[in-house]
Amino acid sequence: MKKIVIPLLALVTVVSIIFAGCTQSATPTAPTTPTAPTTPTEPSTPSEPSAPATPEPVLNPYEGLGIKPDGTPYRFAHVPLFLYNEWVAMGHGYLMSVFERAGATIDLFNSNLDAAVEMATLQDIQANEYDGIAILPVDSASAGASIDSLWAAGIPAVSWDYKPASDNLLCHCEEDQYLLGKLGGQFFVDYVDRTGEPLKILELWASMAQDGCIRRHNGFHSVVDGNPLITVVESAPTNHALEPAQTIVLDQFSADPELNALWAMADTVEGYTQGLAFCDRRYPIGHPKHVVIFTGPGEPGSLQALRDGIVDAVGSMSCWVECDLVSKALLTYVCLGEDVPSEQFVPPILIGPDDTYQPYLYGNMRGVPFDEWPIIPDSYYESRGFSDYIPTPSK
Amino acid sequence: MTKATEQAVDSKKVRNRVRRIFGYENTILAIILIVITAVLAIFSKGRTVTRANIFNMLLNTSVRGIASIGQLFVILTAGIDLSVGGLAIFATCLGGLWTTTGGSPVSAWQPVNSLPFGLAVFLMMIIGIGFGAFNGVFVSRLRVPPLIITLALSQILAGLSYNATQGYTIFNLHPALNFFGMGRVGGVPVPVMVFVAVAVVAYFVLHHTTFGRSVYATGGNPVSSWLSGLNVPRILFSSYIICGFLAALSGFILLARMMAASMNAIKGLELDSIAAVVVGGVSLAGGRGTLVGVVLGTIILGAINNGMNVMAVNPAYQDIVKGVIIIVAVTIDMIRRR
Repeated sequence: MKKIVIPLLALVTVVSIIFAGCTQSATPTAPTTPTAPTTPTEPSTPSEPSAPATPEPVLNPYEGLGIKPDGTPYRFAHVPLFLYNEWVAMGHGYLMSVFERAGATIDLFNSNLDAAVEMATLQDIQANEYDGIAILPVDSASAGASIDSLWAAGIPAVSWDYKPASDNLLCHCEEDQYLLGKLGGQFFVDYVDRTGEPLKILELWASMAQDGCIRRHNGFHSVVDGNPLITVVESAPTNHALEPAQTIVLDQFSADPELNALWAMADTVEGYTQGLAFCDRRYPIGHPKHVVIFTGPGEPGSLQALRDGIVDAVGSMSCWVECDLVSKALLTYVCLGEDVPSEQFVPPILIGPDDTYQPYLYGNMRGVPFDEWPIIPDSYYESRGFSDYIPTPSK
Repeated sequence: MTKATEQAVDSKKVRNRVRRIFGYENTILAIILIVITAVLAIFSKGRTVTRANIFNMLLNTSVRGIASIGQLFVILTAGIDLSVGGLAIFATCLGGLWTTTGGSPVSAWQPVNSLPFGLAVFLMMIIGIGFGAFNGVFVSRLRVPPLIITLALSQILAGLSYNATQGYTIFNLHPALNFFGMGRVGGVPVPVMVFVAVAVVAYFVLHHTTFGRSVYATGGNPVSSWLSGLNVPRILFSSYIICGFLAALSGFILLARMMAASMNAIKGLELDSIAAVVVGGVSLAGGRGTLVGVVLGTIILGAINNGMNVMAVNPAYQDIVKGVIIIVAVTIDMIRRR
């Protein structure tokens, strides 16, 4: 056995080295848009989406902003709660490209869903005297204490998506998650009002321990509860993982033929659409077996499923928008020394099948290098009815 | 023989027969499974015992089942493998990167042109064997505690998986995966068939080969095994390789079922595999336990999960209910084994 295995081990090592390569590009590129998911009875027929209607890249307004008077770059840190998630990965990629355009540096850390690790990381950041940090916290309470300590040390923190409990947080940027839940609830209410068809909705939880998910849940129920045509069945949490999403959807839709709608609050579209396929319920809009689906946050898979008619509507919760505001807050405060608003709650938008290529959807940015993503212009926020935005800073 | 004597002899035969039946290793587990199935059937008004739901339950159990069988080999040697989940994810990520078509590479791990399907699958299995061998070398030759080395490897694999995918979900996979994830043969889902095939082969290896008996002996008493002439280091090494291979195979089935590769495809696979092994009556001290027990343990856990989902039990209570059922099942089995 040893004569076979040890050479195999060596082969694995060699193969790994060959595929790993020696270097990686400084700006990682995003993978391309996926093809349509297929139903089990149909052969795979990938569709080629037409080119997204992305506006021309904006000239770099941040040129030189990230360089201190002594010629050294400002140093920023980014501490997301985990890395194994496309939404976080694309958010960080955009953040990195913005700070590089400004001439600053940004170092990536990983809390790995561990509040103790996050606290230790923030202490290390404080000891290393960064100029500012962006944080997507694991836990609001524990992050709050660390942020107070950072503020006392002169290091401002800007959070995105989940707001830490701290009076010393410089700014919090979020596409309002409570409103996202309300958007989803209103979508189903409008559906039943329009069609008269009763809906029995499976609410696919993400994480019951994250306050952002709880806010989405609360927002959703604030609209649908009490509606005589809507029944909601809550699922076990998927914890943002694909396999539990598939398992839960397969089990519940198989066992309950009355289930005809799905509210998926997180990015597990590959999991639950495969689950629907297994129980012969993944059909496009108009088919008698179609399941009415509202999902967030607008990742590439959900936009593709929207184009294919599998998903009815998507509520945006864009890492691009949130990280854009985070970068503007930090550059404005740290580099220009100007105050910024303490909160940036951007109302989410509803994306329908006919407008999946509207501007500034991060789900359409696969295949586009992060340093080519345009800076979101101030006019975009105004068009979304959000007037208290942080304007684009420049030198 | 008088009538009284005949009756006494018959009564003794019946008692012996009953003792033989209930003394059989996995009878209690089977009874527990039947009871759980019956209770779930009653509370779900029969929805859990339809043919479709039973196949769903087995389908959902297949990935964990394959990983549990691999874990069995290691635990029988008094070891443990906490890298099973990380290895399955890493294999999934690499399989996705190697079989995706179109699009610019995510990282240097992704070739410009996708690999032939068979080669990609073969390399996934080689990765599993390789990292299993990695664990095996440290445990068998360097005497590093299995808990430590496999935990360390799971961390390494998490980093490698991120390095390989940069956090992205990989799409556009080879259509041949559809058969392995969604195909059915004679109405039986292919992942279930793979699980059954792995179980049959593992049963044969464990219970009808010298190697299998050596695994039990090594776990039961490594010193005596060594003195008896068994090559204990080689047996340990082989066990971790088998576990690594089956972790990669479970990753392949996961990839086929999701038709996407992602670092968050599955969570807690290592703990689920250990739980299935323990519920199946395998001793963590090694040397005792059966493959049938592990299969029953896997199905018990799968049935509980499935039942909770089918009945749409309030998610706040699901974990409590699952934990209580597991405690009761294991306690009954432990009492019986004494």
